[in-house]
Amino acid sequence: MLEKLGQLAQKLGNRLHAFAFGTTVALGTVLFSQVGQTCAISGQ
Amino acid sequence: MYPKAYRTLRRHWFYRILAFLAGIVLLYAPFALLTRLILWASGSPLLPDAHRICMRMPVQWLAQPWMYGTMLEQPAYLVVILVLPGIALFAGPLFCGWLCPAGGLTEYLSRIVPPRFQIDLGGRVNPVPIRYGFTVGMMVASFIGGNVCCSFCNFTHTQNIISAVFGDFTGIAYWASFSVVSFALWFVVLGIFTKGGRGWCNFLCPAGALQGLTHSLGRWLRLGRSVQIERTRCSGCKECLSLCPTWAISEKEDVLEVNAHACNVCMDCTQVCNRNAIAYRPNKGTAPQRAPETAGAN
Repeated sequence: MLEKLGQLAQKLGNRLHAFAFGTTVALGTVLFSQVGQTCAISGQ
Repeated sequence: MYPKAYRTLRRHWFYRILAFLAGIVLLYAPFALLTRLILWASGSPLLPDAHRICMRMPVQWLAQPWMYGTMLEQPAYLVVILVLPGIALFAGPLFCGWLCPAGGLTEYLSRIVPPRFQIDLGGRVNPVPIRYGFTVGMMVASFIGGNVCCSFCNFTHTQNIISAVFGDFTGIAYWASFSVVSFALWFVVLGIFTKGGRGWCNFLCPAGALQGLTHSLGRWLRLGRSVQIERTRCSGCKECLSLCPTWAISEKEDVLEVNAHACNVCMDCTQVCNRNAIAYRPNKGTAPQRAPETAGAN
């Protein structure tokens, strides 16, 4: 039971890690997106 | 090396490439037939090109209630947040696997590059949580003044390429921005030099993430159809796994399974399976479990 819970926690941890990585990539891009890039349709 | 079964896929790929060309004609200038139809029906004076049926910005706008009015004024923006996820709920992300010109371009060109020069991430990385994380990050970024959508817009790159083919080189000005980096990532690193050519779609496409979410929901609710493996028939040859461009098929304890969050229903895998174990089936009822004694056979 504990072993299964541990495996589940590890799986969840891996996914959260990957999710956070994707979010970090998007937020990190904000730094670059300020360089000459605006939305073509809304001007945002 | 690619599996031998690639030879049996020629007819299937012929139809997929026809659909890809139809996607260009429907969405991209100078044709943009679907875009023109929607703009004409909604009385919009805007110029028809890839930006009108934007595949990214409306996903970001989902987190920005003050943009809902804009979306309602221009029904073309509703395609990516209502029409495509609606189709995906019942039939899977057919747009991604068959029509999408941006994903198709890199996937088909990646087949020209010898596999020994390509990064093979299939089975090594689960791109699904990264793609969901990126989509959420993209929405959050809009609140701190960032616009990640257009910085990562592979649809604009594709539009620029197609416009240049038809003599319009104005898109070149676009390269004086982050687009140089995102083009290199989309087309080169995660495109033609990644096995399957869909690395960008797998990691960074918000439209794909939205469709993957509803496709998975459809499977969970037993609605419509999805690609499924009938485990009693599966021999464990893994040809489908090595072929899948979206890395949606994985092996867990000698059992192959399809991740509905990642699958784009291109159905290459269904063509390659000579035991008909993997097929595009109705979600009603569960696929029979693979008998343990047959696991890993052949």
